[in-house]
Amino acid sequence: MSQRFESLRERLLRAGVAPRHVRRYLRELRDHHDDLVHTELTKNAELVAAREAAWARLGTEESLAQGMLERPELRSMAARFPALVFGAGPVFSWLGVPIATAALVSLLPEAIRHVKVNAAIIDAYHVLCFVHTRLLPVLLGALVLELAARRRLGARWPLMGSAAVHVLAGSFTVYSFPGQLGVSSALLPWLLPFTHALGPRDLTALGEGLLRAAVMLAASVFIQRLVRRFARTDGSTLAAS
Amino acid sequence: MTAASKTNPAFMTGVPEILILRLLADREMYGYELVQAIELATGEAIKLGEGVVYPVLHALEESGCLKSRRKPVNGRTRVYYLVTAAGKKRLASVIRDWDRITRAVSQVLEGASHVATV
Repeated sequence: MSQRFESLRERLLRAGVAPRHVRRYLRELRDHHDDLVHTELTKNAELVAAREAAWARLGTEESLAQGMLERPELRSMAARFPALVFGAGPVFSWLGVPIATAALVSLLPEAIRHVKVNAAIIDAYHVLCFVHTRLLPVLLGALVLELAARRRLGARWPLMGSAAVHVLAGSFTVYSFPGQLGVSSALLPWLLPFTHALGPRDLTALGEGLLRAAVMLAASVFIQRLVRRFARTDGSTLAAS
Repeated sequence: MTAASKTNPAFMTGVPEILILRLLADREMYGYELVQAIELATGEAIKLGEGVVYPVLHALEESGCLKSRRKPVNGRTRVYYLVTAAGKKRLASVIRDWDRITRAVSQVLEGASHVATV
């Protein structure tokens, strides 16, 4: 029985049906099947015959799949707009973090915002920048790849979205001088060549940034594969039990 | 009930939706209960592949016509569905459409039988 449901699950996910609908549908079908088997058994049917009769009443895999596939409103946003969700989504999410942080800081009282910069604040700034430009992109990339894998979607858009974040983030470097905190990007002078305000175009710094981005992307893929392997092991254990 | 004894699918477009909305307007039910209620209410004239009610239920919930809640019954958690205010409006609308179409089809059929007997 579970093999039929597993096959149905794969088919629905690959067709882009939202995972929450697939999960609930399969749960409801399992319950319905159990109820039908119970009804057949109360009519003194043999267990094997009761199960087959229950399947016949529930419908073929084809009809159960078609029922869901005929309804486009049950498809996930990610399946309908993969470029937006997995391509642009990670970039806007990553850019949104400092914007949201700046908005929150601007809401703080004046006295707190204008504290004197000391060593502790500089350390905290470096840590936050490291988290945002090195750690967050790796985790965000792994998350995007995993979400796409769970929906059985192709890796093209998630990889492009993750790579875009990694290139942006990897090209940033953090600096602090006495009385000054800041970040610089090796990429922006190449993207916006009409202004010198972003600093000189440094090919070596850009190369380092791209190399860093490649390493970060590899780390995202590695973490996602690890998560997938654990998820599969967990699923097999549950199925066996 | 076997697959072969199910109602002719060519006549069934939109029928599960009307039946589901109408039956759930009276009381909340879960899928299996709903299928039994459909068979009982139609005197088994309408037999569905029982799994097909769930995509209809999900789609109606997605459009705001139904809401669902999980409820434990005899040690199992069931998903119960209930019609919302939007669902009641939708039901009224589909009943009007249904009446209009069945009247029109009946007129044609009566006319055809009249012609045939002349």
